[in-house]
Amino acid sequence: MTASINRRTFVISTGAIAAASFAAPALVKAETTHEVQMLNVHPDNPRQRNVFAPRILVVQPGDTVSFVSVNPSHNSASSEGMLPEGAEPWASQISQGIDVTLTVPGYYGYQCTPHVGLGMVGLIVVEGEGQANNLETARGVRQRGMASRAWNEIWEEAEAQGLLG
Amino acid sequence: MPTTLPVRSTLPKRRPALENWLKVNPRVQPKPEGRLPSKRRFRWGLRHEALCFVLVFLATLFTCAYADASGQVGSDPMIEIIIERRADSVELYFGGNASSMIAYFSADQTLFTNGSGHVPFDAFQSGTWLLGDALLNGASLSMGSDLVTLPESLADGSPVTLEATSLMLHPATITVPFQDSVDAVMAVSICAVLDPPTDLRLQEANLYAGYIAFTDRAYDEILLRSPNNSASHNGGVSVRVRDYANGSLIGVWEQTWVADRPIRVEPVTTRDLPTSLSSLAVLYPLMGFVLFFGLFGTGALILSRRHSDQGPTTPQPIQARALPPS
Repeated sequence: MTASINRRTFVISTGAIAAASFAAPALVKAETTHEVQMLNVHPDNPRQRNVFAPRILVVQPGDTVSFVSVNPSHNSASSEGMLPEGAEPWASQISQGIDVTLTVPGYYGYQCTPHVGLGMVGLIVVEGEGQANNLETARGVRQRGMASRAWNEIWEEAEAQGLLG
Repeated sequence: MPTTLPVRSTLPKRRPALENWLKVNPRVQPKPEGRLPSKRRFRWGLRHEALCFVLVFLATLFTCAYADASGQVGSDPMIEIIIERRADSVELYFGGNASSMIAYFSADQTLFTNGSGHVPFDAFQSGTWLLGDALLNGASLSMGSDLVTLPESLADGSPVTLEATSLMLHPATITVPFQDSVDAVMAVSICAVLDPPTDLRLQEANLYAGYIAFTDRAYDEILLRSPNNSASHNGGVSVRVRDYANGSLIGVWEQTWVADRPIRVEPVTTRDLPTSLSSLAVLYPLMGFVLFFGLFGTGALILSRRHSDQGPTTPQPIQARALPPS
């Protein structure tokens, strides 16, 4: 038995493949990349040291968050107990940036490993169905030193922005 | 032979005609001719110099007082302590020679060194708060009536705990700013050099450690008790404490810290709480400006008045025209 392809099928198939090839990058590009800077000094408030800027980020599933090492000695690592179920933890090397693609809706807490005690922490909210599933768990995590104060401020700010509803 | 005593007239002397005319025409002033007599010149010069000395002395005194308020005077103590009080918390920062501080606090030196006795900077990348806890394990802290404890004692039900936030060692050859809590946060967290040396010993390093206690008694009296060890009893260590409230300097104290004499930091009252550091930064120079020029102006005025009371600067008579008929 032999498979035969006529000219019409060939043209349609080739066209479909070409269209898909052109469309694929555009579809990938539609997923936004967000930048978070790792800094020694907050750009707007010099009294704030060891910070992520911005500290709260709202993204859509599939978006990528790019942590940029502006000043050395910092990293980005997901905080234990502060990821939605099924999400992959991450940790960059010290003084190195990292790109993290977030697909599961929910609240992602992260920190700078050496500076979490000084309150260098941040929150990413991935909007979507089931977003609130890990909210209480994330808020209940015991924090160290100044991270306790920083997280209080973050949750208050997130609530004021309507991100906890 | 009868003695005749000179009789001094009590009547005012008649002013010469020229002076009367000058009173009517104040814009016309005689130009001084010649110099003051040497005696009067000496007195005038002496007064002038004395005033200058007083002004310089007062300006120096004020500058010293200002510098003292900024905590920038005095010899280097062995341990520097910065206290930052807020409504809900107290932050404490310690700085000093690493070897001396570790010995004074009776901490385990091997926690801060690798097998070859050098500072393991690589190991610090995973956080240093446990080292901070270990450093202060022997000391204790009280705020008001509350005894503040380290996290290990949390199970005792203590109402307040003191947690280490970060600890860092820097080569002693590098000057790390350590004047207020903003400096201190950097000192306890960031390496002062891009490539930390791998052969740094504790004797050649300065140690900076930060702590925080969340409490509503942050403005109460603070007592820091040193560990009861031989280093504490053997003369203790000199300590300089800079006490801040909401970013504003409240006071600077230098004390000797020994086992049986805790460091006492006075409570902060609402009277002591300035609105902000920036307002102080404006207030002090303004006070200095007003004080200096106020004194200078007063002195100049006094001298000017005395000078004018002594009459014209020249004793030479002035040749003048006759008064016009009135």
